[in-house]
Amino acid sequence: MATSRELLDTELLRLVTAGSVDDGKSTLIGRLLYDTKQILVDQLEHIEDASRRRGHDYVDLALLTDGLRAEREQGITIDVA
Amino acid sequence: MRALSHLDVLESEAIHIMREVAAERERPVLLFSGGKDSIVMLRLAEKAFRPAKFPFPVMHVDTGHNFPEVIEYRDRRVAELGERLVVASVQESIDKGRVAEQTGPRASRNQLQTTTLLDAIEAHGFDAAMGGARRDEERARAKERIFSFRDDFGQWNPRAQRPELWNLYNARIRKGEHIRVFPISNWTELDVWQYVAREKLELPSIYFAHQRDVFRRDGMLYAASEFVERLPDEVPFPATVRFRTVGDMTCTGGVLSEARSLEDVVDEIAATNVTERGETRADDRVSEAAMEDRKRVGYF
Ligand SMILES: Nc1nc2c(ncn2[C@@H]2O[C@H](COP(=O)(O)OP(=O)(O)O)[C@@H](O)[C@H]2O)c(=O)[nH]1
Ligand SMILES: [Mg+2]
Repeated sequence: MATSRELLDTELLRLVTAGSVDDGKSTLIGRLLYDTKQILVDQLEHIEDASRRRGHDYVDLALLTDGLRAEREQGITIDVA
Repeated sequence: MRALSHLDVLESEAIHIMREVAAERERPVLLFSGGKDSIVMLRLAEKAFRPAKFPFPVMHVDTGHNFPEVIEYRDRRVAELGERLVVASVQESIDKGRVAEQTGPRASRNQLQTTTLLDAIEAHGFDAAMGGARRDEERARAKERIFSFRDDFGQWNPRAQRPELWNLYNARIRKGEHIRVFPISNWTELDVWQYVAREKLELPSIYFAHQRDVFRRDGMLYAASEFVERLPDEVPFPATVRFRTVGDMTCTGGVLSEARSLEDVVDEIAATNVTERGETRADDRVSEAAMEDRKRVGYF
């Protein structure tokens, strides 16, 4: 676990993905967030629930970037902010 | 020259945004809840405009169900700054019949605030309302622009957001419309705490560990108060808690904590594995898109 002092020295990291629709850009970003431990317990529980509700038997990490209702209904990223 | 720290970068971004609002809009207002994010916003406004007065008043949407410590803090802080406070009262909206009070143990004035806020924006002719919401709080907030456009009815349409490239902000609106502006969008909860520590900002006492009577509901600890009707099995007991967010007493849960100083709180936040709203806010638990739905109709 990082101490607050170490966290004070962090820098912003900018990440860009490019690819066609459904190439897995959102899933990749979600996976990177997950692997770097940026996802807190309740956020993970939330997307586990949301994945189950969508009938998936896996956790759809793209739901981390695709948070708006329309994005989830259509399974696409509409907006990046 | 020393490189800017990440807090310096966030601070200068926020100051730039506030100045941009003051330059581009005629009647801005700064929304102030008495919480840590709004307190940071006040400091940023000081940095952006002092020695002049703020080019906008400060507005609190007062549900009447606040923690008393927060109201006390609000009045004192605004007086210290010598700025103008506008209070938009939910009680008044109820008295005027604009909204109906909910009843029962789960009654909350959280939703009612939207009407009070929109009425006040219209009555004062505000065309830009700055708020302290952050992207890391909630997934709908994460997708909202820094300059977020609201139509004639105060509504947000997430599918009709304007492009916002780098630090180029578009504040153009037509009569009757307004923008919401979120200068600290890109801050995290930990950034806010680190900034509070760096700037030595005073916070309402409820942010630090203290003893109070609480009761358990839905896995959260709520302050026992005259504003919340308790169910028979919701028996209050004393506990040492602190609050991570400041909302109504009816929908804000406390967390068990021994963190009595700013340093302790910063360490606690750095080590937490639950988000602040996930841990402490009932208003987001209603449905998958609870915040998006509230924002669409004009919520903060
Ligand atoms: N088999 C496989 N499927 C993937 C992989 N990454 C993403 N997907 C699936 O591809 C689909 C589109 O993914 P998404 O991340 O939404 O794509 P985007 O449009 O590029 O953001 C989803 O059904 C994912 O579950 C992968 O590495 N392997
Ligand atoms: Mg995508």
